[in-house]
Amino acid sequence: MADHTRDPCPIVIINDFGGAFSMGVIGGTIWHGIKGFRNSPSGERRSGAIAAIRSRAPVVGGNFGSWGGVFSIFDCAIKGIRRKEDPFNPILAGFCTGGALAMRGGFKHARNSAITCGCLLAVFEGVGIAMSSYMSRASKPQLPDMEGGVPLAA
Amino acid sequence: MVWPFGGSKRDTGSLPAPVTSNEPLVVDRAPTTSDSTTPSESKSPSPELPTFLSADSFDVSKLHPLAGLDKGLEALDLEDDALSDLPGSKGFLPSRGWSDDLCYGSGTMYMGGLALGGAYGLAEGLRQSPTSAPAKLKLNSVLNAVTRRGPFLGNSAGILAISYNVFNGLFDVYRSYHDAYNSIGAGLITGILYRSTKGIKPMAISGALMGTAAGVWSYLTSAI
Repeated sequence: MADHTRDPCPIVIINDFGGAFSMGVIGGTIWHGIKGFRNSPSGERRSGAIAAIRSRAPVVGGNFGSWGGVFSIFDCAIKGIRRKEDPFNPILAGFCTGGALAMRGGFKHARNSAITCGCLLAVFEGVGIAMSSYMSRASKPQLPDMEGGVPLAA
Repeated sequence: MVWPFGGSKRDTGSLPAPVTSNEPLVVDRAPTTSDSTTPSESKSPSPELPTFLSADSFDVSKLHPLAGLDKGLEALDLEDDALSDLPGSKGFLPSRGWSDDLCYGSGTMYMGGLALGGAYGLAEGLRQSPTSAPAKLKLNSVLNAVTRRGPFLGNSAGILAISYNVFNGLFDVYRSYHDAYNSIGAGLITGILYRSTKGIKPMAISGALMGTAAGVWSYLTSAI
């Protein structure tokens, strides 16, 4: 039935592109605003910050967006090929994304980048699994308290 | 598929006649003659796969008639309680609220700008490199042109979409309902901000353009 949190596969690529791009633009605005403000001489701090935001924030957004979108494309493709969902999908997708985006730097660069991205995604997935198992420990079913052979709650 | 319990279906379908006593009982256990029946096989008919598991008799509509499975997977069918309940925000595009609008809007605009700019860069790169150039040089020229034009147009379009959706969402929250004036105002502010370092006249032109585009877009979404 309808999933309310995440859309199905082909269309979620657009969502991921847009979400990653927005995140990058907003984060880049803050980052380069502060950087431009600090690196400008006093008196030109405001214009320096605006110039830095104008020239740099869209680039950060574009980098984030292309990473997230390419990752989502690979994720959907791997899901379609493997026909199952497990933590190896994002790891493989991260590997492919890192390789694809570093392709113009030559084979060595692409390989190193792919391995780095795969390891990064493996760490993310591991942390996610650990967090969810830690969170679900609180709601583990417990044996009812028995006193005289009769459960107290009954 | 190897059925682990007993013989395969072909053996049970053509069971040979039981051997009479005057004939010598020849049991060939060589693997090449699979038709010969060993005593253990001929004693009892081997179990078959139940017929309801075969593919042609598997009918999803009979599994649960009320679930509506025969209509197929309705993946894009957002249920009513997941949709945005802001008055006047129901268009022909299903949306969960401003964050959905933001992600899909900026994603569509960014990818569209990227594709358009990339196509323009492709044409430019092919035009600039001489026809006699080797393939590797041509490829490099095309890639350079694509990566210069595509991200520039994509970034600009994506930023316009982000700004428009953020202001639109702010107006919706502030006025507690959505109408075309929210969209037009958001487009106006976006256009003015986009050219805010170029002077008054470019700001006015860009704001008017974006406001008109937002008005047309909100008319289209409400008309369909």
